[in-house]
Amino acid sequence: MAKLEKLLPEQEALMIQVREEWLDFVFKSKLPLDKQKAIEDVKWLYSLAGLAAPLIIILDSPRGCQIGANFLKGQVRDQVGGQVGDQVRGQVRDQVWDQVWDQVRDQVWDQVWDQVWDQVGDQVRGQVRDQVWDQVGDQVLDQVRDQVGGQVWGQVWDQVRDQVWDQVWDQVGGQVRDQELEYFYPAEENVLTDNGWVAFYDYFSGIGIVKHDGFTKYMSHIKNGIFYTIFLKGAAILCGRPEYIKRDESNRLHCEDGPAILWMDGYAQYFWHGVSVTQKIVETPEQLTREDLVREENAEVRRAMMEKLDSDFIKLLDVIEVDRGIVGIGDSRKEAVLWRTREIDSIANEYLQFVGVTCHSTGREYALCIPSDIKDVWSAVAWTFGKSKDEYRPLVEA
Amino acid sequence: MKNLMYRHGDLLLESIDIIPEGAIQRKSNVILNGTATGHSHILNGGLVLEKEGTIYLQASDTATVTHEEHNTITLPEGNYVVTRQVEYDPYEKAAREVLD
Repeated sequence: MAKLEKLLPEQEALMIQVREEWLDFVFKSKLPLDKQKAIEDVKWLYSLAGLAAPLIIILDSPRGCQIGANFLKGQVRDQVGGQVGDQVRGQVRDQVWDQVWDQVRDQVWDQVWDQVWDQVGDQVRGQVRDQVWDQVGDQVLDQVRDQVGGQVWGQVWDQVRDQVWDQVWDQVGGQVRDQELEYFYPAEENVLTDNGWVAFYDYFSGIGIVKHDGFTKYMSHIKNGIFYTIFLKGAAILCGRPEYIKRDESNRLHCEDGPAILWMDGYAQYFWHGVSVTQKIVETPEQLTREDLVREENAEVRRAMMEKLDSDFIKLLDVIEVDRGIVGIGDSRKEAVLWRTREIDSIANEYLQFVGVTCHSTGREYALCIPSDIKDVWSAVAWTFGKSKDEYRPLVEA
Repeated sequence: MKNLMYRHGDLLLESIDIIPEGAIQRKSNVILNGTATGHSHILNGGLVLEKEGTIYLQASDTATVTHEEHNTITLPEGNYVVTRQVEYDPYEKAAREVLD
């Protein structure tokens, strides 16, 4: 059979349609999770890996899933989970045990909880993804596959996995570890991680290239709207879609005045143009103190503070400008400014100095704290790389 | 010859004659991962090595350094030492690495 060499105009239009449908599905759909279907689908995924059907616990957020997994492993005792709010802990505990009781009843409960995300993932890839890849490869020329890959797989992946999943993953992981809970590596079989390739083969199903029962079943599992998955031997913990996801014009997680992602149990995740930030920065920036700004170790988070506070940033630092000038050579020249506090800082017991710089690539402005004995902007920037003013001569800055 | 410097965001890449003996090649070509953004500086074409906490690059003749938000830079073939940007912590009276 001749391979598909070129997409027809209607096939190209379908490509865009499929991509937009997937993005709408992730970001705009309000469809509730079909819990019974979720249970059946996850049992099927476990069966692919030769694993016994697990207990399936459905919770309302990634944080809930992580706490729930800790409960199931018996990790959360009052003294261990003390930093998790009592209300949160109580809610999750009640939800977990209600569901465990419903499913276990009088059966013996085998409490072995190894993580099995890799076993399930390997089988999904081996028995589903790799087979449909071969189907497409057999029937479609590489350039057509690449065209669809770029338009559908790549763009859905970029917007969902790169811009949302990575950040959700990092923030949840950080918060779980901060609470001294065990962190469970999330499985991939959910909307936020397996969006790109499923959308890609969805398109090839639509034009009659992919015909694969396993893929059809897997896609229906993904389209049920499971957003987070933890797969353990004996138990799977998962949650459905959040109440909303808000993004900026560049598709980065962002909300000016509230959570960028709000989950059904009230778990709120705050982001400023894709940067993970605290609730205080977004919702009560007027409570930020100069010490908050100086102690913040992450330059991107401090930049978020600067942007959120706008002109109040300088007011909060209570600084005066002591130098302004051009730093860099050739095309890398950029203006920088040196600020010093009006008064000696009462905690540091010295004047605080900051150099305000602009990123050569993004144009974003940052403020870095520098020692109080530096007198000019070039020396200030050079110091941040351990160089003197005479030494600091980058040929290219990006 | 004077060392050549290339800046990529919070990294300064400075040419050096040789990479210290005993530097170990990293498993990936990620030079540095961002913590708040999840973005990474990546060397394409060459090796990323490390010794005693210092990162070295062995750039091939077509090496570039990429990042999701910074413009791509091209590095001439050769060896480089990576310096991370720092700022001053006035409360601890010490320099600390700039994170992003």
